[in-house]
Amino acid sequence: MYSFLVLLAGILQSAMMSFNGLLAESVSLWGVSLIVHVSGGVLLLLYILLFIRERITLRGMPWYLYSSGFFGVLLVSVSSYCVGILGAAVTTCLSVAGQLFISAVIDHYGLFHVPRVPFSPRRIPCFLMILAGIILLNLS
Amino acid sequence: MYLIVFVAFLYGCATVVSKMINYRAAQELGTWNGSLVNYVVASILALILLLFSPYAKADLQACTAVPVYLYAGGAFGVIAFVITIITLNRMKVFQSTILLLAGQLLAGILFDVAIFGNFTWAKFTGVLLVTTGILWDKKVTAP
Repeated sequence: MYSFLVLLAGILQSAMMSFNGLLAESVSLWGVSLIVHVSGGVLLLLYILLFIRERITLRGMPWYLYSSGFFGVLLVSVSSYCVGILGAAVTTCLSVAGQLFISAVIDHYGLFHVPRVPFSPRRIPCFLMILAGIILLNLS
Repeated sequence: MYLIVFVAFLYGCATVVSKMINYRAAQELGTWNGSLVNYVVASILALILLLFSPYAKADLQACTAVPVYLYAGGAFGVIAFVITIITLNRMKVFQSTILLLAGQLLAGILFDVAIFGNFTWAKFTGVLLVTTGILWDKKVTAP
């Protein structure tokens, strides 16, 4: 049951990317970001007020953590742009490949104060397989 | 074509940095308030960017001409977020990641065919290779 819910969450994320990509053609990339964050923010606020019943506080973090919003705008606009050209499946593939790559770099060098985890050579064949897939996507 | 592939790759890299910042924000303010900050700051920033971009005069005609369901993206994002947070107490992170990815790629392929109307076997094989590689890597690195 929970597995199905998470699978559904993945489907919804993909639907969001596809819809945003189409919406961007009419309302521009920044417009998509505005719509997504305003509608999402209002719904999240309602959910917190009605179901979580937690006190709303937005202040009291180190200033640089507020850059999360900067990344939010950028990520929605960039993904909409990419989906419009590459489609949802290819964009997801490339994005996950990027995520694995940067995570491996962060772990290996212990960036952002995470514990250092040296790159395991056992991951090389996996990365090569992903690279082969990306090259194939490029050719098609 | 190569540039856009690189951009999509960089997008994935930026996602991780963003996740780490959101994770820190959640430590400071709690999971819910932490992500609400993200939405509030992003809304303000997007509005400013929109007002100062050449698109500021984006005609309202075009905004109303698109099918209404396309505006549901934001709602989908929040539902996905809430599901992920709630279910994370009941399953392993590893399991959750795999299921999210499976749902995304499955629907991605379907939406690409249904909405954008593009399907090639080369593309399908590429997606399959990348997915297998990711699953394999997750298995190798799973604690």
